[in-house]
Amino acid sequence: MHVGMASIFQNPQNSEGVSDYAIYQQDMALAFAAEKLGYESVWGVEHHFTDYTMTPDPVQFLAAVGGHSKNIKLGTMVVVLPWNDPMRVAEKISMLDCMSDGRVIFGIGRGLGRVEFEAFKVDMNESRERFVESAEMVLTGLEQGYCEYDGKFIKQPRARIRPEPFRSFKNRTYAASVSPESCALMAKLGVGILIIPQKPWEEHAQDLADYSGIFRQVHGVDAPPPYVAGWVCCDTDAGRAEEMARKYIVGYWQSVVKHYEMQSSHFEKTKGYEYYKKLNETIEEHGIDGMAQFFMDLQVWGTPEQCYEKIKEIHRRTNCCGFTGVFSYAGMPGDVAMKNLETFAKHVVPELKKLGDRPAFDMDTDQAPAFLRAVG
Amino acid sequence: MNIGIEQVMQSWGWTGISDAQVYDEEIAIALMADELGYDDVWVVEHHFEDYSFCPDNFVYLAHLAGRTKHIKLATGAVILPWNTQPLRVAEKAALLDHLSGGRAILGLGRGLSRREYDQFGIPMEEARGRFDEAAAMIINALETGVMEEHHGTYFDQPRAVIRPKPQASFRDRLKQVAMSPDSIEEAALLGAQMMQFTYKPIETHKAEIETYTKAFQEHHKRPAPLPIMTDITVCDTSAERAAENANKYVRDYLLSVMHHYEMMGDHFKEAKGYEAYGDTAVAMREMGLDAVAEAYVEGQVWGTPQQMLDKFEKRREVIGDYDILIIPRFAGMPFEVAQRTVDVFAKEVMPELRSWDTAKTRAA
Repeated sequence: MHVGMASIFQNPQNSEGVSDYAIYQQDMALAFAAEKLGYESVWGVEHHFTDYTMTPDPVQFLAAVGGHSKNIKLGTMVVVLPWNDPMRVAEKISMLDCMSDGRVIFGIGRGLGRVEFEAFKVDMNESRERFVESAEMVLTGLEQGYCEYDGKFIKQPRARIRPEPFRSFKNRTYAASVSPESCALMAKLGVGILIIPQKPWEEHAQDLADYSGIFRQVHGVDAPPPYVAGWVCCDTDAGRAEEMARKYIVGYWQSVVKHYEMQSSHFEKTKGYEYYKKLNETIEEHGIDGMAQFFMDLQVWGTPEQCYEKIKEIHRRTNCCGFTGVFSYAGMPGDVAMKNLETFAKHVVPELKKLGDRPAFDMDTDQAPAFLRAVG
Repeated sequence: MNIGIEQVMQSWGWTGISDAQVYDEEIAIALMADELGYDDVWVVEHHFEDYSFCPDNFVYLAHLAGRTKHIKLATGAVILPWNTQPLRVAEKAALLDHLSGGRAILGLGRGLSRREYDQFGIPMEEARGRFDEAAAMIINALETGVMEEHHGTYFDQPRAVIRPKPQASFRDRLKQVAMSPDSIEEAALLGAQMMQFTYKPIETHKAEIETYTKAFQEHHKRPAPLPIMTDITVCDTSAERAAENANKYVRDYLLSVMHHYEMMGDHFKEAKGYEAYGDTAVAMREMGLDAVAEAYVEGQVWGTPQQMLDKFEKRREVIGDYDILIIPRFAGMPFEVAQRTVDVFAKEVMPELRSWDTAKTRAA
C-alpha cells in the first residue's frame, strides 16, 4: 500500500484566541516533515469561509509542500470543481505537476457544504451537472493539451494549457464519492475512487462493487483499486490513544455536523443530494452522540498494532491501494499532532507498505499525455 | 531602495525548449535571487501562449515559499479581469502570506492582450470596469478579513469570510502595474505603489510619476511611495558581450511584446479603457519597427555594472528616486546569460545602489 498524510488546517478554537496563522505554522510543520518520516504523499483539501478547513486552494498549498520536498507525491482531496473555473483548474494542476516533476495525484469532487455553494453563488442543485461538465473538460484537456467545451454551464473557447501537461493523468485521477449515484458517475468518467469513510463498510463495499462493474462495462478494463482516507489517533499507550480519539475524532465529527449542517433538512430538497437525507435520518435515529461513536469507530485509532489491524481490515473490505491519514485536527495541540504523525510513521507506515498492492500511480508505466504521444 | 527581479516565464524565442525547462530555469533564478539578497521576486500572470505562461502566480509563489527563506513573493501582477472570482484572489493572497510566513506582496494589473481576453471569453472593453470593481472588493476583504456583500456590474457576491484570516495588512504591500493614464489614476486611488515597465521616453515616465504622486497625496493625505521602474536587463562584466546580448535578446523580447499584444494593431482605439495604447500604436506605426526596437533597447538599463549604475543615476536625475525591478531571462537567451545577469548585478550593482541615499516616499 501507499501511505500518505493530509493537512486540513482546522481552527475550532479561533474564538478562544488561536489565530489561523498559528494553525498554519503547526500544520505546515507536519506537512514539511512528512517526507522525512517516510510518508509517500501529502494531501490538501479544498474548503472555504469557516474554521472547518482553511485551505481555499489546495493546489497552492501543495505547491509549497512540493517546493520543500523532493519525492513525496502531492494529492488534492479534493479540488471541488463546481466552485472553480475549470480552465484555471486544468492550468494550475498542470503547473503544479510541472513544478514538482510529475508528483501530482489529482483528486476531484463536487462539494457538499451549503455555506460554500452560497458564497460562490453556485446553485447546489446544479452541482452534479457542473461537476460532470467540468470534469470532462479538465480531464480531456489534460490529455490533449488544450481545453474546449460548450456545455450547459461550462463554456470555454479553445485554449492551450500552459505549462503543458507532460505526463498523462489517467492513472492518477481520483474522485471523492459518498453516495451510490456518485460512484456510478465516477466509473463512467474513468477515475479512481477516494473513500472518505462516513458510512458502514458494507455500504462502501457495495458501492465499490457497482462502480467496478460499470467501470469494466464502459471502459473494457478493470477499475483501479480505491484509495482510503481516515482520521488517526496513534499512541503506544492504548488508554491514551482512546482518550485522544474520544476528544479529537469526536471533535472532528462535531465539526463535520456543523459545517455540512448534517441536521438540517435542506439536503432532501436539493437535487443530487437526496442521498444525504438518509444520513439525516440516521443521525435522528441514533442521536449526534451515537453517530459520533459510529464515526469514531470507522476511523483509525489505538496503539500502532491496533491501527495496523484496523487498516488491514479496511484493506480486506475494500482492497484499497493506499491510505491517507489525517493527524492534526479538532484543536489538537501541535506537539500531540506531531507525535501522532511520528508514532504512526515509525511503527505503522513500514508495515502498511508491505500490505497489498501498490497503486498504479506509483508504477513506471505512466505515459505522456495523448497529444505528446501523437507527435512521437 | 528596494531591488527585485521580475520573471516573465517565456518560451518565445527558444527552439525546442520544453515548458518544464522554462520553469526549471526560472525557479533556479528565483532561488539564486533569494541567496544573493534581492528583496523580492515578482512573477507575471499569463496564459495559453509561448509569450509567457504562469496561469496562477500564487501557485508559483507558493512553490518558492517552500524553497526559500527570505525573499518576498510578489504577484507581478495578478490580472483581475481574467479572474472571474475576486473572492478567490483575496483567499489566495491570504493563503500565500500564511504559507510564506508573511512574505506575500499583492500586485494587481488589468491585462493588455486581446489574445488572452479572447481565449478566456471575456470582452476586453470590460477590463477597466472589472478591474476597478474587483480591486476594491479584494483590498477591502484583505483589510477586514471579510468580503462584504456586493452587487455590482460584474460581480454579485454574498458576504464571505476569508480563511485563513489575513494575518497582517496588505495596505503597504499593495502594488499595481500602471502604464496608461486611467491605470495610473486608479493606482493612486487604491493606494497602491505604482510599477512601470520602462518603454516610454523618460520625460513621459516623469510626467506620469508626477501625476501619480500628486493624485496619491490628494487621495490619501500622505506622500506617495516611490515608483518601481522595471527593465529588461543584461548585466555582464564584459561590455562587448553585454552589448551583443542586449542588442539581440532585448530586441527580440520587444518583438515578442509586439506580437503578443499586437502593439501596432488598430484594435486598441476601439477598446474602452485602452485608447492610450491606440495612440501609441499609431506613433509606433509611424516610427517603423526598427526604430521602435532601437529606442526600446536604448531605453532599458543594461551593460557592465558601471554602465548600469550610470544609466540608473541618469534616470534618477530626471525622475527622482525609484525602486528597481530587473527582468533577467527572456527571448531565447542561453541560461548562463540570465544567471550571469542575476549574479553580477547582485554582486556589483546592488551594493552601490543600496548605498544611495534614497527616500522611501516622495512628496507631490
